[in-house]
Amino acid sequence: MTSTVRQRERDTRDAPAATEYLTDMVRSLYRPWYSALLTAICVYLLFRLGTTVWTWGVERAVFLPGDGSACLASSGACWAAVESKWRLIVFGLYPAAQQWRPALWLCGFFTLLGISACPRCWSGWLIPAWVVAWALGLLLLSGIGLDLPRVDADQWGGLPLTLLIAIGGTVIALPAGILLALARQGRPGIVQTLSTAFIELMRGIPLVTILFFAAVVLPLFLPTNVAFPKVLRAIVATGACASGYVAEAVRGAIQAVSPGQTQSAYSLGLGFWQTQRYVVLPQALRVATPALINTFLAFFKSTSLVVVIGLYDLLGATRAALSDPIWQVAFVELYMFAGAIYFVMCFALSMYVRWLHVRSARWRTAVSARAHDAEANDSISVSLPTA
Amino acid sequence: MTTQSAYVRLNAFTRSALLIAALWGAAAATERLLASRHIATGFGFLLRAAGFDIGESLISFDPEDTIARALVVGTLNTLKVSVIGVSLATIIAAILTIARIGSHPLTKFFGIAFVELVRNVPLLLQLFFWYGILTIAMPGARDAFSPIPGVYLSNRGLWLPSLNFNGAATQLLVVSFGALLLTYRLLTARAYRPLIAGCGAVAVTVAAVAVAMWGHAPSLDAPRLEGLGYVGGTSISPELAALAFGLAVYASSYLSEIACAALNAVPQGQWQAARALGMKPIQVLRLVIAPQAARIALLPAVTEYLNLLKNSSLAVAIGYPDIVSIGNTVMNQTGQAIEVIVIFVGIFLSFCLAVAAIANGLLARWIRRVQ
Repeated sequence: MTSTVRQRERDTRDAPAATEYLTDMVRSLYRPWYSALLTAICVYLLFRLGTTVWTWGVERAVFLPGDGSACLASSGACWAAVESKWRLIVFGLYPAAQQWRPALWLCGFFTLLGISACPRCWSGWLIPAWVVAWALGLLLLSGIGLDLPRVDADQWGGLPLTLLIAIGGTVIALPAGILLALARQGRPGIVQTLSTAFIELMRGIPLVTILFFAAVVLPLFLPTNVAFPKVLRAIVATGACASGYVAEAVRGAIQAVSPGQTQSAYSLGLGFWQTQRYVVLPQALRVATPALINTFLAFFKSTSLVVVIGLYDLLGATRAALSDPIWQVAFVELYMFAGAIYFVMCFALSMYVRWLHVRSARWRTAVSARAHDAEANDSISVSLPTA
Repeated sequence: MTTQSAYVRLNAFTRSALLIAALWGAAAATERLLASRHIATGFGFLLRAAGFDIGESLISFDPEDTIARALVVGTLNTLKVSVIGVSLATIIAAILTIARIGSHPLTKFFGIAFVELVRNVPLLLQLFFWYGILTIAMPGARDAFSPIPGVYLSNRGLWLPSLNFNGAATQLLVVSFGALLLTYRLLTARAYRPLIAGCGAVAVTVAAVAVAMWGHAPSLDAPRLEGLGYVGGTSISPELAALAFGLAVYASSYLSEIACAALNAVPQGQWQAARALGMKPIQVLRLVIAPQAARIALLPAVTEYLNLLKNSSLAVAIGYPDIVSIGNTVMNQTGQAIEVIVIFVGIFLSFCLAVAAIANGLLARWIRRVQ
């Protein structure tokens, strides 16, 4: 039986030249008569959108910070609100004199992000580096252990709080999710049942419910003299919910790794944990990387939900800024400012995922080709008892 | 490779008994812990009077009703906003998908720009934005925007005149249902001409409705401004409108991604074979590609609809009285957080499991029909 049955259809035509793409695209703008009509409508809509945004955002806008009366008088954008409230939105209620600390941590965070983004710098040291960066953030913001004035966790806010919750959740969710995935993949038993139940529970209920649970119920189970700041509760809740999604992504990736790999490893005498660490997980985690980054992206956006338990992250601080009666009318401008920060970070991350996906195409086809060859040639047909 | 664990060698009855014993032990330990902290336990609080009013509900509710009834109202509100959100999301996603799979570069640009803008901004921020537009940017009740007499758009919501059927409601319901069924059978019959079938279906529906309303002329109940608000008619509150619209827009971006991916996942050979048979692109899409793409897209789309249901819990931040919002009020009032969270988990898990089971059954039936 040849393996051509499973071959993907191959397109053997030459790729069209670049200029041909351009001329095809321009021609499709007017070729059928209804395309020309659509082009006219779209161009008109773009023109109207452009002029509206220009008159509202630039021409009639109020740029100079003032007492808000100019904003009420004009019909344009009130960028003065952004100028007067941006510190509150970005740093929350952190004392103004100490705001150099979260700013310093943010610089460090973006540096580490840049280093992590270039695949040439990937090594085992990155993971401890992120954990250390997160712990440093907690220490720097609170002042514990360093010779700096203490700032209570209830005063943290804005972008540093969002990033701390997101990274903290990831730090919990990645190891927990991998363990849950291995447990669910393993042989039937009480561990498999419990892990399946936990994963389905975390994926079936909204994050808001888990946040309420962590904020209200979790402190009841701890001794009364242990302080459990709300930030830590939010991190635990986010981490628990994310671990369910990470577990599903990693489980799918583990199933994508050929079973021949595991069987070869066992036949070489490697134990279960050694197999996972040296053979299965390196391949599985590479396959799962886009799904994992998408999960991180989703939970980065979900950190905005902590406003329901009373934390002032980026969105919560924007709401707090809007409670000021002078600037209340400028809700569009302030939400746009916070939205722009979220958009830039999330869009950059999703473009990066796409770039990674394209870049990894070569070894991904190699992995799946190896899997196809193994199945087609039946080379690993030793009758091992199914685990 | 390994021997079976002790747990697996037990039969199902013993396993369930062990599980129930473990849960019972955990519940007893939790009760002891809470009693030592002087926090009330047990579900008896459900029969107490609520003591608070609910802004909007599908069934009647006043502050003397039980807390259990309040939670039922919350569940119905969650279902209502989810159903509205799912319908709107599907319509918007259909438009987005048509814009993106066409060959016109500008509509593709609009579609992609919309999807990227909506997907990269948190849902809660979008909800706050729409809620702000519907409350702060709208005029007050006295200066409401009224395109047609009887329709008022203000920061109190959208007020519409309602139809009062004067006793013909049940007849109308039965006859409309029968007409819809007939329309569905006409439209999905194998050999038909779409235009004639469509006209026939519309004629049947109109005739059926006319017969049902014979002798029972419906009356219009228009809203009137009284004091600071409106009386009469029906209304869509700004909370419900903001929540439903925001959820729908957010979900539609993911749904259009799923739809485009499913349409591209159908093998190119299907397109080529259908075109070789002489079918026009529109016919190919409708008769050959779309059914296959629907099978591929069903499970991801159902997952996205369930995400919409779970995201409706953000109503607690907007002020719409859904189950999480009312449960939060009950938690603050009675202090019995664990019981309320158990109720949350029960409701959401049963919805998710039921919908997932239905979707899997539907998919199995579809695949069986093909084979």
